Amino acid sequence: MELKGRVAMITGSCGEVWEEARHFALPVRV
Amino acid sequence: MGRSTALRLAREGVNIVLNYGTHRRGQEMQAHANRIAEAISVFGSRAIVQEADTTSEQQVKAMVEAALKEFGQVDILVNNVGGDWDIRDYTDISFEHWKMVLSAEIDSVFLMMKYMVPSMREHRWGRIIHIGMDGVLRLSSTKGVAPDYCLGKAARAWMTTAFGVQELSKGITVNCIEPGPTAHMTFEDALKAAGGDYSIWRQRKGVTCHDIAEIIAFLCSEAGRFISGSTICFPML
Repeated sequence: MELKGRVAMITGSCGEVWEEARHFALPVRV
Repeated sequence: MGRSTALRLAREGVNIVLNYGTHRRGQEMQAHANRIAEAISVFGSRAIVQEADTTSEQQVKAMVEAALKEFGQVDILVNNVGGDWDIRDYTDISFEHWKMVLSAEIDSVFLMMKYMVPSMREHRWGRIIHIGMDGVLRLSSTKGVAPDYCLGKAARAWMTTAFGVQELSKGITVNCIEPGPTAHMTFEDALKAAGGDYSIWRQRKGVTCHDIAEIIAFLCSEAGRFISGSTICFPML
């Protein structure tokens, strides 16, 4: 890829770690 | 998700500004960010860690200025920060919580774009990716749960379409990735996948953070040059 030298800013994180998302009943993280 | 994205982009030689601090601060968060920054250096890229509340105009402005001072430019923005997912009846949501979630979902995107897009326009190159939520505009699928969170994600979808069209002629693309439930990966597994060792990632049964990171890397690539205003969904299986 041709991204060498580019700069990225990544904000984070999502407020809640969905260790056990109640409505999906799955161990997930968003 | 932010971690996998940072590592995946670092593999491409992208330098990274890692932000935390909108919701959680303190030594534990800083140590986590520092660990990612260390891993990024293994790929030969540079990383800096910035603690800032992305709902604060003053803190966003200072963070962007610090990033520009360090690297001279910022080309890619991933609006990964978001509000709390908290299922409860809307009549039980406090007004303070409502405002906090919407601010993290909407104000943070506005502020980050307000202070980063001018530099991207100047260089006529930019990639902006919002993290949304699958099904958020199909109102029936959210079943009215976490209405503050869903409303914020819906706003991100709107900002993707509106700003995506507006910015394309200036060399900037704006897109949104809408994940559903996303399986957690350990740091070690995420690092392996980001580095191109897909032996563990291939065994996944559903979407992982690395899936999201791969799409972000694609949108940042030359192939993504004219993709703008799009939402990419990862529906729940």
